[in-house]
Amino acid sequence: MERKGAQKKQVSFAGKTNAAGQQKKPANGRVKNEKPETSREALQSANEELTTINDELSIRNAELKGANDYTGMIIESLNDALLIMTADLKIKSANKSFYRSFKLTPDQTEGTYLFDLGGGMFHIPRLRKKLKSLQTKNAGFSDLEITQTFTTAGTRTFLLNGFRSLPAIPGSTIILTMQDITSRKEMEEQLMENEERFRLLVQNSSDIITVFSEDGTVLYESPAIESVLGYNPNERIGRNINMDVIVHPEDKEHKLGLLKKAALHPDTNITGEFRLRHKNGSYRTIDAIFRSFLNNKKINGIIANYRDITDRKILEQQKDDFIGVASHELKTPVTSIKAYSQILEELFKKSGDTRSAELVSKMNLQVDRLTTLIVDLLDFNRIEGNQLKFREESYALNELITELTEELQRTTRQHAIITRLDRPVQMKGDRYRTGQVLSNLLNNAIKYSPKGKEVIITTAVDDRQVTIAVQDFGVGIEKEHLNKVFERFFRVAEPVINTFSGLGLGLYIAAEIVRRQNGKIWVTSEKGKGSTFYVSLPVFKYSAGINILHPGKKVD
Amino acid sequence: MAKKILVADDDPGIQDIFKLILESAGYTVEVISNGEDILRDNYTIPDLFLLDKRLSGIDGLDVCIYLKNQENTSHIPIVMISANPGIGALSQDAGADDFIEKPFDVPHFLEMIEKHLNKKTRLSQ
Repeated sequence: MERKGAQKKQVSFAGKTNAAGQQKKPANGRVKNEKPETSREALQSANEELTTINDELSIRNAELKGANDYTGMIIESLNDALLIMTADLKIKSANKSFYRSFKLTPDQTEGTYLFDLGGGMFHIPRLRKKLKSLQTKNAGFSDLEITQTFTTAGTRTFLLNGFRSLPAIPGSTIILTMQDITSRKEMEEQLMENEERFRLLVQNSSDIITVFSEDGTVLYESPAIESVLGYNPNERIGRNINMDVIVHPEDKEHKLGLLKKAALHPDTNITGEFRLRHKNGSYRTIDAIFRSFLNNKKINGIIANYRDITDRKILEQQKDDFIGVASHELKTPVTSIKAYSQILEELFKKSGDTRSAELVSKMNLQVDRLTTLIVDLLDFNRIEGNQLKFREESYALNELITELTEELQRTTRQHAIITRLDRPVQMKGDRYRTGQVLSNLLNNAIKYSPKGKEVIITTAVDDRQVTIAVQDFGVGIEKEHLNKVFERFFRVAEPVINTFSGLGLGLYIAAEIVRRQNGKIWVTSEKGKGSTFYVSLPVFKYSAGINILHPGKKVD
Repeated sequence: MAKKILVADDDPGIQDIFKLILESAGYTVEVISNGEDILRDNYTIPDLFLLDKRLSGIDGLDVCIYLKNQENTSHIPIVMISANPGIGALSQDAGADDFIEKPFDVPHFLEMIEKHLNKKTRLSQ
């Protein structure tokens, strides 16, 4: 059809050309004499011209059609919804995206006025105003953000653009594009909400949160610094945390060490404790966490979290003091009872009353049990409160073992405590605590071998450490319990051996003490044949006087 | 003549016990409950001091340090007593000659006292 139309046009166009040709010819002076020939030539020439034009036109036509298809394809593939309307806002067509967004069909849409669509859901005053000025003043609009509840699509947010296709020509089409930004908006809002939440969290946290750069300059200080240390956040910003004057002089190096460690280990929490000076001059104890985000381009700094634990420290001190008092108060009457019972035993022996002496002796053993329970409870309390204190002293291990075994031998006639000691070594650590571990193991060895005749304590010295083994020939431990014996509250719960009383704290305490002195503790056992408990501890110095920590230095 | 031991402890029960044990072992015992009496020289110089760490008004360890720094008492053996498990190390730091942890074993305690008194006797002879 189009082609035929084009041909018709060509005819009238050719006619014009023809006329032009005829007008030209008389100027050549050939019109009169060669009329028939000329008119034939003219016709032929016109015909040729027509063919050429026709060809050209059909090419252009094909191009046009292609262009038209191309536009159609673009319109259809647009993500944005698009409406093509007449100047009076009657919808001519819409794209797929529009139908998808508004859940409408072409039947419901084409030929309908925009403001009648979907029960008037496009009757939005702001849009109406914009379209009005587009209709009357050719004023296009862009990025008009509208949030509206659409009967067919629910509440959505759109960015609307409106323009005329050919503003100059009356009756031209109005195009309305609509970009659905509902989910983007939601995400933005959520993001802002999250940001706000974190901002509030940081600002209202009772912990001080500081962000500082790699060179230690304070970039951000949370308001908590005012309530904790009395400084205004602004007076802290720009200061260098490395030469911080508010750190207690004794803690300066420790704090610098923490900072260095944090910078060297990105994305790792480095924790420590130090004192900071309050604006009023007093010092507060701070529990700090440093974490380097220097690898993170967005933060590019180190974040510090300071918690004021001064009050907690005071409470801990009070608790510590209380334990000291309790320890004293509990032990004092026990001391008296034990002394009286031993004096009584001696008196009965002297008077020849062996039966009474025996009874009092049994009483004495019960007092010892009570003493162990008190000591264990207090130590357990200290371990749980991380208040078990260790001394760093030099002591001779073999001497300690000899002392312990001699003392223990006095309490048992049934068991012979055999010592097989390697060469003497000097240890560095807490002599009392190590002694506590060994006497616990020896007491257990006796306790859990009620029919045993001997308990053997052995030491084996090698390059770096000494391994102490305490072996008994008693009831042994079930395989499945081997790993549990060092756990707190663990007790062998067997009716047959329910005579082995205790709080189940002894080995737990022993294991903690060994662990705190960089040693190891383990056990091998066979049910019914006995157990061997091992403790290995680092050696400070061998008998030859060589300090293994500083081999060049001789130690006396 | 019987050796004289000065016991400083603020607990009457413990004072009683030490008196009983030491007197029945043949020693003369003087008991004081206030550590400040020692600092004020309000006592007669004994052959051995038995000091509890916890004394009313003052730490027994400070009394120990004081005595070890006085010309007339620095040579006299001092045995510290305490319920504190760390007493061994603390006594050593304060310059005490020995220590005993509460509760203690009576025969072991008497052995220790005798040991220190004999040492002193030997030195002074």
